[in-house]
Amino acid sequence: MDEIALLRRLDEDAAAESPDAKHAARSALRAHIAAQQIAAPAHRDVVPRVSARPRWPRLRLVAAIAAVVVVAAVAAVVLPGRGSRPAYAATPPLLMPVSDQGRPAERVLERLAAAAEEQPALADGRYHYLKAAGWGLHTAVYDEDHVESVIVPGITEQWIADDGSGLQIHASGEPVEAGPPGADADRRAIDDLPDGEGEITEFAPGEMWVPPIASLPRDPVALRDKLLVNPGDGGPCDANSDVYDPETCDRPESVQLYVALEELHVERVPPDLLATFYRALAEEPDLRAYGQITDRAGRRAIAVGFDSDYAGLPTRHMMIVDPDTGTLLGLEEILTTDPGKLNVRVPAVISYIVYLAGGNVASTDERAPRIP
Amino acid sequence: VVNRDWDVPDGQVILRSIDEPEVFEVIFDRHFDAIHGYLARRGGKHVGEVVASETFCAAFDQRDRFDVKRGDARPWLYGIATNLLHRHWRTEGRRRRVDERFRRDRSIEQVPAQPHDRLQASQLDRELRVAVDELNNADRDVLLLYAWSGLSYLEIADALDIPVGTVQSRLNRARARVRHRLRPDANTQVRTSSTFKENTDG
Repeated sequence: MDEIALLRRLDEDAAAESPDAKHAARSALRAHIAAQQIAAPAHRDVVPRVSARPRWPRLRLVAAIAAVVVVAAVAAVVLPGRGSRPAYAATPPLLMPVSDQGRPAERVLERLAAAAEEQPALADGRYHYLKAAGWGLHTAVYDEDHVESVIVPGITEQWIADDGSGLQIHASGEPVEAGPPGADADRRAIDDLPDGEGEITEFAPGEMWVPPIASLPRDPVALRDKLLVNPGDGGPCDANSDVYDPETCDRPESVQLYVALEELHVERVPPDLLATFYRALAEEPDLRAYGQITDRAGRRAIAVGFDSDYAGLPTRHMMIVDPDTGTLLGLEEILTTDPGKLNVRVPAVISYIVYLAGGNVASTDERAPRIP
Repeated sequence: VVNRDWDVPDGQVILRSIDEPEVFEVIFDRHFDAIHGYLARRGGKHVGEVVASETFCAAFDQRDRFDVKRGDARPWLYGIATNLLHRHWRTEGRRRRVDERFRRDRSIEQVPAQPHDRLQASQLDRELRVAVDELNNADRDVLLLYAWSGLSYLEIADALDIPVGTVQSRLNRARARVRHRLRPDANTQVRTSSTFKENTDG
């Protein structure tokens, strides 16, 4: 038997037909075709997503967004003469004005760290459970004067075991129009999302990323050292490295820490690590505290963040934190002054995640309590 | 209504789908299982499902660029699938880079998911998998398309948009390297490898 024959029998079982996969792919193709037919008259490529980088709660929104376009088209047909609309996509309301430049965040971050430190450790459990809400934006352009934009809220529940296996349920809610400024429309959209219903994906061991939370240092200096890119270590800044990534390498420190915080939040981060994280962030001179707000789930919160244009457009990155417990409630990104080629009117919220529930549970039949 | 048994070449189906987009589903019916199987072998169950679905959406978007004189859409679809698989892995690479960053001091034993570490395999399978993983992307694409898709040299050239001579040279190089990896001291005499014999005879 030569190497080709050996290869032909390698992983033969993986190539078995999968009726479930075929059914899901057929549905996705049909939605895609429907969306293309509707968007085709003017611009085929219209801002289905404005976020520059995917986050896990939104990863599975694409098919749902495509389906939503059909709804928009039906509305346009049934309701003729709705009049011209400005060629701007609807975006979620701002939680606070971007003109507020805030104040240095060092002391606020220290208070948040102290609050987090006082919280009890998370309960043990085989699965790390997290429930989060995000959103997708779809704009259908019929002609230069007729634009239909909808926000599609999505909610994801995820159970991750330490071996990288797990379960994910994603559901998309009804499209919402951008409401008046305030959090009510978002809260209703989130509350209306089905719980436990949606597209279910199971993951075999190794298929889900498990952040090494238990092993990360609980010392702010050591944590910063671990999370920040270290030039010349065979890592992302080393052109000869397998993990060479100039984009990551060029990010400012505050952005690197923000991204790391987001990436850790595929599960609920223990309070002691959050406390360490806030103290590490306090070393960043560009961190600002923007004061108290009400988050998109109706919770009292404090906003901390910074402005950066590392990704090309001036953007405010905000962490939404419970001031009493230090729990991270959400993350938001807002274009502040320049929309680039996006058809949004600045300032514009271009992405957000709201963490709704999280903790460790014994099985995928259990859910951790809601984050108050 | 799409007649799934419509007995005309792929090229004609794709041509008709320009004006009747729903007809493209015939292409999906004809080729999904093969494309999904190829991708699942290369990337695992989840990646296979995700990228196979993306492949047919991308193919639909690109159908006006398909040369309808080519009767068989398989090379075109395998080419799209292979490109999307690499794009998927580049995206996944970001995730692995994060993991690398977290693992800098090597005190963390978390191992990121790799395309080929999903099965408990025999020693020979493991060595074969390592040999394939050690190839560069270009050689690996040609080798696995040849072994797993059933495409000819000409069709692989079509799929990857490279000259057929390049297909032959890449395939020869890939096969030689795999052979050498399976038994370094035997050059082309793979069958005399004791490791090979133990695992295939046993």
